[in-house]
Amino acid sequence: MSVERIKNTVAPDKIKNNLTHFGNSISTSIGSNVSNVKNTFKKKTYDSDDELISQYQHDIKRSIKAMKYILSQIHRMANAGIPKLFKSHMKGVELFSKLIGAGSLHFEGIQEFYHEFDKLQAESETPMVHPKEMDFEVPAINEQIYNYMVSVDRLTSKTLDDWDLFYQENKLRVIEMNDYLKGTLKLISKRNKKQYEYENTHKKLEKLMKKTSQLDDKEQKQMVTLEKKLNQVKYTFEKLDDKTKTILPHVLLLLEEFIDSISKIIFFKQYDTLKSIYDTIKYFTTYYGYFDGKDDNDYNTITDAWENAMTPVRLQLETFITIIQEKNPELINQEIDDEDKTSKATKMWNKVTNKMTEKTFNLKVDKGNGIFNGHLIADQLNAFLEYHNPNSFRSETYFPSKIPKIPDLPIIVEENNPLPPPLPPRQNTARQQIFSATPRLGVLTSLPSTPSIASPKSPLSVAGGFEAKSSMQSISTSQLVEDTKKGNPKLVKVYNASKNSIGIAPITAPLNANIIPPGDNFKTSSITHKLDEFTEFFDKVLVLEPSSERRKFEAKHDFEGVEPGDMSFRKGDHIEIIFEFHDFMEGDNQGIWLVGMNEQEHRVGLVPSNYF
Amino acid sequence: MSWNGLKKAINRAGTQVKVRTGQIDQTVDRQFDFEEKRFKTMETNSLKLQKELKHYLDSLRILTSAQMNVAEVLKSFYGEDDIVTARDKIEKGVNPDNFSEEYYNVTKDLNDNVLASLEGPYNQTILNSVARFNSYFIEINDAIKKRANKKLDYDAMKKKLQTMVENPKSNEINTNEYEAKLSEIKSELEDKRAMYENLNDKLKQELPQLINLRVPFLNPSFESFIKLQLRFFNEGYSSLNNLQLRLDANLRQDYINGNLESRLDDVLMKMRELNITGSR
Repeated sequence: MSVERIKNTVAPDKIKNNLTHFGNSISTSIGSNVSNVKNTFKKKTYDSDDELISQYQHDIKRSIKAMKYILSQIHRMANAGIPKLFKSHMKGVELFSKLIGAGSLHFEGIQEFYHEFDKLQAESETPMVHPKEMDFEVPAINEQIYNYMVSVDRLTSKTLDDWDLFYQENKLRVIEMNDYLKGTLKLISKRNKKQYEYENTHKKLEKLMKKTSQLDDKEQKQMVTLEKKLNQVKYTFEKLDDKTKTILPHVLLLLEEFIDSISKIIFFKQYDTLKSIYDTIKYFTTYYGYFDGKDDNDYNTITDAWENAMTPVRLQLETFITIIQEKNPELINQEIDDEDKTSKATKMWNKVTNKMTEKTFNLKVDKGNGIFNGHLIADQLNAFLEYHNPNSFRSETYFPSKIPKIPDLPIIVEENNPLPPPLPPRQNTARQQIFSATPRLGVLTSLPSTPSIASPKSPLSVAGGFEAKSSMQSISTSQLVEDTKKGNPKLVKVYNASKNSIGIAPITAPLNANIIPPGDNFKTSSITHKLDEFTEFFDKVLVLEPSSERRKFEAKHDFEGVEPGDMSFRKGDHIEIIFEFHDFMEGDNQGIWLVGMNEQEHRVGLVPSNYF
Repeated sequence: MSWNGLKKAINRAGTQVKVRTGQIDQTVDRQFDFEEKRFKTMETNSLKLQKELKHYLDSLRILTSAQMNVAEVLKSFYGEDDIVTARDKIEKGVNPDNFSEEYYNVTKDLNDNVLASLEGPYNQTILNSVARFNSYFIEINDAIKKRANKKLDYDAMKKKLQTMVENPKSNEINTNEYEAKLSEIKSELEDKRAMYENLNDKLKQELPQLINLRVPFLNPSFESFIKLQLRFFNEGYSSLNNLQLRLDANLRQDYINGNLESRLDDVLMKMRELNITGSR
């Protein structure tokens, strides 16, 4: 194996320096180093080598412990932390679904109740609301919760598999590495033992030699055996010492490489996990428009959105439910705050259990220097000499800290593209107005007779009524009547509809008036809900409007939808106008919003009139 | 429990047994039963939800601290070359040039600050919100229990009247005493009926309201649950991403290709070649 190769790939300065220390056995600084040495006998051959070796021995010992600790922490993450997190996430969403999602609050034996109801219904003369209908569910929420559940489920199984595999693979590697390190420790202690033996023998021999008187036979004999032994021990010691000194730097270098790589692997694993969670949720929130197209999601915005949606409901609930109101008035007057409501005892308990399970580890090495010197500093001069670029260096250490430059994005200048006209004001499609009009449109079919159309309560005057500033003022009664005479298809439809013999809306009277209509107290920040409402509105329009009478226009500009319900189109697209809130051709230049359909793509949405 | 309360409880227990054994016909209101069942289902799920959401936050805490611990150990391999300057660097906005130190700083920030800033909104919009909703159940459950008691009283009284009319004691028939007792029981029955029906109607009216309001009440918490997570993971992801951008561009590629892992295997192979224990 090439030593050079290792040196080239991993060679922190410190170890390089240490390498040069070997061989400089006879160091002048021995005296100053003695203090932290535990050997008691006279230090003859104890030199900087020994100090360095004992330093390494300590470092390796701690490294083994550290790697064991890291492995156990990864094990904890892969087998407890992450699965627990995802499981409780999943369970939470499931419970949400059971509470407010599709088919929520269905209990065992609900069919019996339905069956009984059916029997009762068959016997009774007046129609009643089926208990199924009394469930107040919002389709948009059902869909969101369901889809969220599916995405979380998918994310869960993927992440858990990944981490399990990750742990299994690296467990084997770390264990193998630790085995080698333990081997190294054995080698060091063997060497130290031989060293001690050698020194001892040496000492004894010296004692004999120092004797001034003539040696007797016995002593002579002893001296011979000692000399023999000394040579033997010296040989083995030198062999071991040599091996240790050759191997140790390599072991340290390899250990550093190992630690470096594994840190980065752990880092990337964490990075990947966070990224995949983030991406999943981001995709979800974007898809359902949780932030209304804005990217602003700081905590205040979130809390405000919650507050706005929840507080009216809470107040309503707490006022109407007299059972609660009478019994527990103190509770009701409180706002919901952000304090941690966990009791002190529970907190203490958690602290204690966390301390038990969560051991931190201290490497206990020289704080200043650590085991390695892993600074990633580019020598810009060298880099320039080699690459003619001070920033593109490859250092001796594994991976240089390199800050990749983000290439300047080319700025695309669009020419020959006249600016489209400003979008018309939104008053006429403001959300509440449309939707307050929507249910009325639905009832059109059952309106009794013509005159009521002209009356202020009629649905169309409401539909027109929300156009306050635009030229048409509102659709006045007279105009409506005029339109009727001209045979405006829309009104003919309404007119004809009134001839329908059904006088009453085919909605059965509620069993009791407890069912709270969703529209008023229900708020959600998701766009899906708005889109649902729009779709409902468009569907009604499509049914009401005869397709033969539609006008077609060619778009003069590109249009990118801005708000929910808008339909994007390109210049040159043919857009069929399905529904006009009023006749836009007579409008001023500002333009108004219309309901248009893109024929080729069969999409329906709001379009600004001045783009045609 | 007062003496009277105790007496009532014993009487009701007796009636309960008789109802179970079919000696007393009990009043049945299917509509109420339906609503009660729905309410109970809601209650169980909502209580579980509260627990589970708390659990989620706790697991998040455990996870971030485990990550921080690992990073801390990895960092300590390299030592802090100068504690003061390292802090200076961070304060000045210059990042330390040591990868492990940097990684530790990121995980520490995630554990100490990012998670802490999540907790307030999480408590407010999710935990305490659901807890408030669950606190309503106590009163409602009391009312339901009370209704059941009143129903038992009413049923018992009905039975009493029935026995009196159907099997009058022979010596009592047509006496004034009997008539008086009969009318007394009748008026008492009327009382019990009124009490029962009053509560029954109230519950029948208010339970569906509460049940229906659960959706607008809890949906904001659900949305905020998702939004808060987005916010939290976004912060974690982007701080790690910032660090990632400062690494060699090849590194990410190497990780994806599995080169980093084969590098570990390389190290292991070289270690074997060193033949440390000298077994070869």
